[in-house]
Amino acid sequence: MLDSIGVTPRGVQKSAIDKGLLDGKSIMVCSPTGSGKTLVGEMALLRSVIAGKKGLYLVPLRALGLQVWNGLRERYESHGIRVGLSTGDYQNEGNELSDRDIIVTTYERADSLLRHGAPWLLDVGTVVIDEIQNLGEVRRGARLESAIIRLKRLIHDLQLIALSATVGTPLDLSEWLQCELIESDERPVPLHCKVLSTSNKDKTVRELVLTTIQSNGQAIVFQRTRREAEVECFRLAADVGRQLTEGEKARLDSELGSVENWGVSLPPELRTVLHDGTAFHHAGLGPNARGLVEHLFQTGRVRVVCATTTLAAGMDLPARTVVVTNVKTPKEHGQLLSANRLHQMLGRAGRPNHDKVGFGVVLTGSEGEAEEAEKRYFDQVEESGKVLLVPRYDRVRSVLNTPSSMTELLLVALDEQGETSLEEVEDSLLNDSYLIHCAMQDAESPMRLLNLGEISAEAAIERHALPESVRAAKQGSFGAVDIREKGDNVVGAIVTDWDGSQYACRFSSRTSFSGCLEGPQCSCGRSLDAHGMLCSHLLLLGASAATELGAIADYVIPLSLSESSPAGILLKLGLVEGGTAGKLKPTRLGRLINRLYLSIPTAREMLALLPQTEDKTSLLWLLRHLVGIESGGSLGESYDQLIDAITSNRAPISELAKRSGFHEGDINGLIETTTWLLRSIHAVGRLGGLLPVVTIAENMIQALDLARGHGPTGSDNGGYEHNESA
Amino acid sequence: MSRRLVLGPEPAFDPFKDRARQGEGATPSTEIRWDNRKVGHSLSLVALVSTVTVVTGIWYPDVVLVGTATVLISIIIVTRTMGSSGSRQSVNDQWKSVRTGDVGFSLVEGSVQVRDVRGRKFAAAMRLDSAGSDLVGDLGALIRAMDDSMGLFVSVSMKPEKIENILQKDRLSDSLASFLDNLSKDAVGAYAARRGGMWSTGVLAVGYGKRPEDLSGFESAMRAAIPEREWQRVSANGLCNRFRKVEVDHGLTSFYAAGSELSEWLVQLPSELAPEVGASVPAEFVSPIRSDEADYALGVSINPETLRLGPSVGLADSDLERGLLICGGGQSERKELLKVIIDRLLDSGKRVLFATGDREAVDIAALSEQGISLELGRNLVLNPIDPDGAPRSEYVPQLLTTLEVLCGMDLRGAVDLEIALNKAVALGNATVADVHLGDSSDTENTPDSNIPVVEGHSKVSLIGINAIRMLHQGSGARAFYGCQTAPMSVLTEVPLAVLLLSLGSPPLDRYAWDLLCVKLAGLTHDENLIVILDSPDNLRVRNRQYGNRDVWSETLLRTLKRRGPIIVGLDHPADMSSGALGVLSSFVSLKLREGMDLKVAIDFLGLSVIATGIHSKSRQSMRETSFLRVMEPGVALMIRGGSQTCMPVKLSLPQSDIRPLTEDEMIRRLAQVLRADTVKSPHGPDSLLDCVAGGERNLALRVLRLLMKYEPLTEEAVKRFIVSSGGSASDDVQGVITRLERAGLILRGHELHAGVSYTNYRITMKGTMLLRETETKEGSKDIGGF
Repeated sequence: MLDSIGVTPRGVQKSAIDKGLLDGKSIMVCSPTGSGKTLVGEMALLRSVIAGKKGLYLVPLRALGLQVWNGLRERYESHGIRVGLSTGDYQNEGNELSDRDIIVTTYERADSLLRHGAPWLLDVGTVVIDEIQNLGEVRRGARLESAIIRLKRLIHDLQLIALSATVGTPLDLSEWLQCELIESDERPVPLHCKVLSTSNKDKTVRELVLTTIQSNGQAIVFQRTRREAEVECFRLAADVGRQLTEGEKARLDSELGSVENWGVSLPPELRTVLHDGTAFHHAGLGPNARGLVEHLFQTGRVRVVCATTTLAAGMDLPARTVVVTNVKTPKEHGQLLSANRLHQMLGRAGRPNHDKVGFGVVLTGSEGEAEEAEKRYFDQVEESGKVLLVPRYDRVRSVLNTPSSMTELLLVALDEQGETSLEEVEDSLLNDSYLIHCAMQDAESPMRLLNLGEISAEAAIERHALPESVRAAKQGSFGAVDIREKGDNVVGAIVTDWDGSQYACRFSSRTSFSGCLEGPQCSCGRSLDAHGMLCSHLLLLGASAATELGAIADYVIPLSLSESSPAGILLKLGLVEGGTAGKLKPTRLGRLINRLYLSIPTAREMLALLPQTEDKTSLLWLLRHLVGIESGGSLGESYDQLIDAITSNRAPISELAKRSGFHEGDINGLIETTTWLLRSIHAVGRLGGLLPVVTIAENMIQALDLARGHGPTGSDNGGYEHNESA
Repeated sequence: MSRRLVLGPEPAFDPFKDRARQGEGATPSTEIRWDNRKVGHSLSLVALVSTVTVVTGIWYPDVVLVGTATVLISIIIVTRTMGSSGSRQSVNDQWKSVRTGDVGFSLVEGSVQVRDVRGRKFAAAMRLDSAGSDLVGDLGALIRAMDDSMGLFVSVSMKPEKIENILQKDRLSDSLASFLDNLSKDAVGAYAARRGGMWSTGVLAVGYGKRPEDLSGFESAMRAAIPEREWQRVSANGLCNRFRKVEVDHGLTSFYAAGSELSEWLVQLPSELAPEVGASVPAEFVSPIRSDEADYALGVSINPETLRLGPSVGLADSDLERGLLICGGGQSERKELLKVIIDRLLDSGKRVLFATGDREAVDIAALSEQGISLELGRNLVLNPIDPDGAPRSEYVPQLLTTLEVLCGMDLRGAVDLEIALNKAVALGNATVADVHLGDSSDTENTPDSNIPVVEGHSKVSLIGINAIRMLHQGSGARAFYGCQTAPMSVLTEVPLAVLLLSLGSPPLDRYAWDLLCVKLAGLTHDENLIVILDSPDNLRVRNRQYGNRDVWSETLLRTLKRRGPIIVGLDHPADMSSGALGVLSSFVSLKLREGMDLKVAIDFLGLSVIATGIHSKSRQSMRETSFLRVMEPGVALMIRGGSQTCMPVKLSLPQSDIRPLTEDEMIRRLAQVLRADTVKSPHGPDSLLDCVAGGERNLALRVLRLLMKYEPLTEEAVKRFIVSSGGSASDDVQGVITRLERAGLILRGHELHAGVSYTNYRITMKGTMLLRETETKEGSKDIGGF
């Protein structure tokens, strides 16, 4: 089959085959971008299909899923292999996917399918997880880890293929996944990285881009935000346009005006800059527009793309020069990008069969920042008298241990296992987790790793301290404590160290002026280390307060350390209830929330406000609030107007979105999330007997389905009622 | 056309005819009575009535007789009737007891016993009917000769002598006598009236004693003081007659000076007379002639002339309220004096807060059975962010000024710091750890988020915030970081609280004194609480590197004085600013050595005067100044508020040592005091909720119930809940949330969703308890829903 599509295994693909890929062995491939990892996954999927089983291909992004799905269909559908795609629609059981051989889906959708207990999942033989380094991302990583654990428990002879270009210490991960590790540093095009400090970034970007173009290369400029990407594009357009010949411009115009692109809706400003061989690319663009930009770049018509991080995550769009203009995260200006994210961007540099070498340039605003970036992201290797920067990847750490993830996981476990004790959940589900796997190997793991039940001050302290430190603190070996504050939200003291030096320590559950939790504070300046471990002074204060202050400490200290009781939260929200012999079991509401794939905060907000929601206006407000929590970003009243217009008018969604000021690329995701949440509200309202909101939601769902062209589905609730009764 | 008048047009009507008000009128008659301004009857009417009456009486005398009888009978009947009805009514009336006169006298076993406001005493009197010409004797000697502890009465009477008597008694020179003999009787009288006569002088002295025996020496003392042969002892009956004659026991119709007034007048007499007599003595010690039982006795006065001990002297409440400075001497000597004062104050039911920098002075706490002692930095934390009930608007600026001593510079431009302090103080239950400058958006990404972000703020604010850090994380933390271990309200409630402020670092000590003074100044006025500051470092402004303290120390002392009685103890009075010294009115000075101290002391002790005249010049009394320098231990100079002269005092310093309290005793006492404070709760929970929620009590309860079930809930959801709950609060959504948060019933936090930070609220322990109590009383109500 590979021969028929003109592919000959090489490099990592050959290594994978040697390691037993085609025999059903689990493999983890860590190799640079363009080294052929995706083909390893495809081979495993084909093996599974040939063996009469199904294959799952998990991707982090919808756009990437679409790209993979298109590729697989293009290559294998002619061989009778049915490839399905499923993103969103978390309320749906996914029965329509049962006749597909290969299913491309996102991490979240896969988790959702597992929660629904889709029966065809038992037929899956191979699961390919692309960009496995996302395991370390907050929330998404926890859900992925949870899904992997449950997939492995559900399917006995499951073949796992984990793919990543940017993962540090991959051995840990491969051991947990029980995969054969294939590591490769071979890049089809060598990558040269450099960190430049400049006081005038615009000028430097211009120089880098023009140099590349003048030597017949292409460049990608990564910016933090959409707006910055667009502005950079406009800034470069004129200069880049002057580098193009008349013939190149004519070819570009003819491509833009070709019949295939008639249906592509391009924003006028993008159309303008495209004439100059420049484009911007971000999630706000519609899929067609993004596809056109990518196509034009791949064919060499467009020479420069100014993009946000959407282009970096697994998209096959290489260029000779990649410029990262800012090492700060899009959300938080003060926070540095993760190493994996940065190298994913830089990994785009070097186009196979076109460039001999790729250039990855990181721009910083000062020498100090440059030095910090070099230390953070690169190892320095001296080679033939030159100092080369070699990418250093972050170790992937489990994020399952955050209170919100643990709460969600507990609900999932209770829904799956029925009436269970917390100990059983810990033994059965969590013992198989990457979290425990790392903790067993890591000497720096805290005394208490898991805490599903009630959280006390002592437990909170133990979750942020090494066992021997806790013991020493309890024995008073670290010094003496003089408690000075014991308020409703603060516990503070002066800790006298063994050498007589004094430190002001404090656990505060207050928020600072900026709205951040003050948390643990110590005048020694090292209140929490990189691993989240408390300094000895705070540890001593915590241990002392736990015994002396009782309830106050039990309230303040966990709050200041952002620790909470997963079981307590679920019990309070009424999602679980007490069973026999101290066990817990999910309530009907709990099962429903779990299968609707609602996060606990979303469920909490929904449950709190749903009884007050009695008309369409308040329902639209609630929807906006929930969509904001789920998707990030703050939505204004234009969202209400958009949804109201969609559910009232017959005008096309794209037109309404344009009127409301939404980007075309955002609108689909927004409508999809809205529909999912609306169905969730409908289901929860029906369970709670809130008829007014159920009626309104039902009408809106029908209108939305009509507008999306899905046709009326009536009170389709995705089958969760059936599951519940079961 | 009407005729034009010089004073304007004529009125259209006669205003006299339109008088609307009764009782007023205008009359052209001149028969107006001068006393009540009423118009009397005209004389013609009076004449007519008189004529008719006379004619009727002459022609019909029976009519007049009958009429007169009728009138008389009517008067008798009416009088009796009114008398009986009045007596009946008076029986029913509430009677008030009329106090007997303050002063009375009686004969008891041959002696005159006088009763006055101070109790009973016996009186004896001497009279001198015809004094000799040398009566001018030494009044001072008279007073010193007498035991005037119970008072002394001296009256001098003068009566013009008849010229005939003068001539008969041969009191004139012979030439003048012969000249007058030649004149007629009228001419002699005219001569005496025109050229002056002679006066017959009499003296009456009344002495008092507690017992009759005390008066045994009265006669001899009088005779010795005024050597006159004619002195006669007034008999007891005679004295009673004199008292009766002036009606001392029937309410005084005229002013009689009591002993105290007289003695004061006498004390002042010499100095007032001094310029007139030409002595031009700048000032002198003056020893009082009597003791005052209302004083807090400090010792006995010393007669500056004879160095004999005089009556007991001390301080009055008014002296403490005006501010008292005790200066000079050694630390131990001052401590002993303060110990005496505190002892006296405690005996009279006052409460004392004694702050000292001397570790040895802590045992003063043992003076009272309920006395406590606290050491700053050990078992006392002074929380600068806790205003202790003082108004925030006054407290925060003062707090900012106190920080100047740590910064060593003027913090007037530190607006950011003041705002930060204001916010922290407004938090309630906050500490120095809660003081942050402005918006610290970058803190969460710093390795240690508790380090305040200091970018974008004025340099002065940054220096100020460093001072705050010193108090939080530096050397001051042990004394100033944390909740206040004993609130000022507790410290001022105990009979005796001793605070030791000795941190070992001069700036910190000065800051501690400043802070304590600011906190004390913020208390409400209480005349029964005496604040004693022993060696307060913050009032020493001499030779300080940071010199902007003069006005501050004066302001601080003035506000402290406004709060109530205050005593300041200081070794070197010259250390204080002149302004601060001016705030205090009474002074007790022990031995001083330094020239600077002496210069200041002679000023406030009144040992220098400015002579009158154009060429006025300040002069000092070398004798008194020298005395100040060489005073023996146990001797002090005292000047009380309002008086002009100072007196030397032999202090009664008891030698008995106080047994210092053991550690266990102190811990037990502290535990009692502090526990009593925690038990005390001024507001019940219901009143708290009412107070917090205002008119939206039910809504506040609903919000608490919501958060009880769905915590933490995002701010948007809480607001939406309030809005959808309706009610008038929908206009003030933020107000309801803020009030609940300020009261500590809900806690603000934040949560991250998809990289976006949301503010959230959760119910606090206090809120949970309040909700439970309310629901126990009112019954639980569900907010509905799931």
